[in-house]
Amino acid sequence: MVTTAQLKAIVAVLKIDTTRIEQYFRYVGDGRDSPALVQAALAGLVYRVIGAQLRDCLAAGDEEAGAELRARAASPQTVAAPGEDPSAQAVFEAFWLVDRIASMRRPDGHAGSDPRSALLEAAASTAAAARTVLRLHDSDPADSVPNGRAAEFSAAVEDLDRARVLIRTAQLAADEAAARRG
Amino acid sequence: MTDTARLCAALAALGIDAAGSMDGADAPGVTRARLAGLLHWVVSGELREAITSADCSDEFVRRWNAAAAHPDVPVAAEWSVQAWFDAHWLDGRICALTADNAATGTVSAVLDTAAHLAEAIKILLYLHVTSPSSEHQHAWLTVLDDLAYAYHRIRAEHIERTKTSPLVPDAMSARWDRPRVPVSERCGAASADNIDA
Repeated sequence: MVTTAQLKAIVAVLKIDTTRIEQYFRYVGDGRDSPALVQAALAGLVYRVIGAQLRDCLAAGDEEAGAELRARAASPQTVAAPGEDPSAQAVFEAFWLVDRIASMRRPDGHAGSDPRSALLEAAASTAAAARTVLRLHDSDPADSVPNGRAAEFSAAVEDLDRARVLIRTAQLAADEAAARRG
Repeated sequence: MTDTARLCAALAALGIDAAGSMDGADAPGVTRARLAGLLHWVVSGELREAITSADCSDEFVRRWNAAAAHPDVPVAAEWSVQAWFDAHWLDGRICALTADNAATGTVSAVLDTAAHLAEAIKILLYLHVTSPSSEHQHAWLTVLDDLAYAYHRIRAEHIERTKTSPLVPDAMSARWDRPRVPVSERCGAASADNIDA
């Protein structure tokens, strides 16, 4: 496992601003900045910054063909990381995506009836279902569990149903907006 | 933007020799993308370990919160694009898993479901970013197809595993079974068929 010193080296090399981490530990209060938490915070920040830079890398340049090549060069389908557990990693990245989508919600609250917020909610529900399904994939075969992991299956099905209703709402709102524009 | 040399230095800090990932024949942009992809990949694994090595669930939650901390960060337009990117990444991840499984045997129902859901998330976030309009009929229909497929697949899998009655009432299932209206008829007015009673 990577050390905090290694993460700090990356932070220095990539000139990452760590103000946000300091803010966070001030926010949660004293005594909450144990080495393990600092390490998690640093890893989280580095991951996010690299994600944004990777996106920039892929978007930079104008030619379509080049973008395709760059995307292929960077995709998990091409890059191989030694000693990785791809299944557990997929679960983790689905968790991260759910969190990312949740943080995009407007702070003032509930989903509006405009198509974009309904779509965001639909994406959130679909991501939650994907997370559950990937957990099922990563777990031991369900045969060993008496109820066949009923709770997980129900949750996934309910999330999918919610997503479908939200998409219909978004579709309707988009059609109405189009009709108003004439 | 971060240059190739800095990406190499960051990889070196993790003990990874980037030379093996450099191909002289690549355009500089491709090399940079390859290095950034490798770094993203490695850090993603390290981040997971930093969080999941917690020995109790309280500590797990504390670590997750520290890693995902975004206090007072305004909802920037850029976040949508980043989420879209993350969805692409997850989709690529699941494609790689699917390819591995297909090479060694069969792709399980749950993994196949996950693959369709990842595609749906990508499209939903794309529609969110681009402001949906009726010009995106194909995208809407693909999303609904993906979700319907996933719904049936996951439901059948659960029935198969438990050999019991369906876990959701037939009424809910019936909504999914309704045939979708073809693209040609759907364009234009919002018909009653798009609304759930």
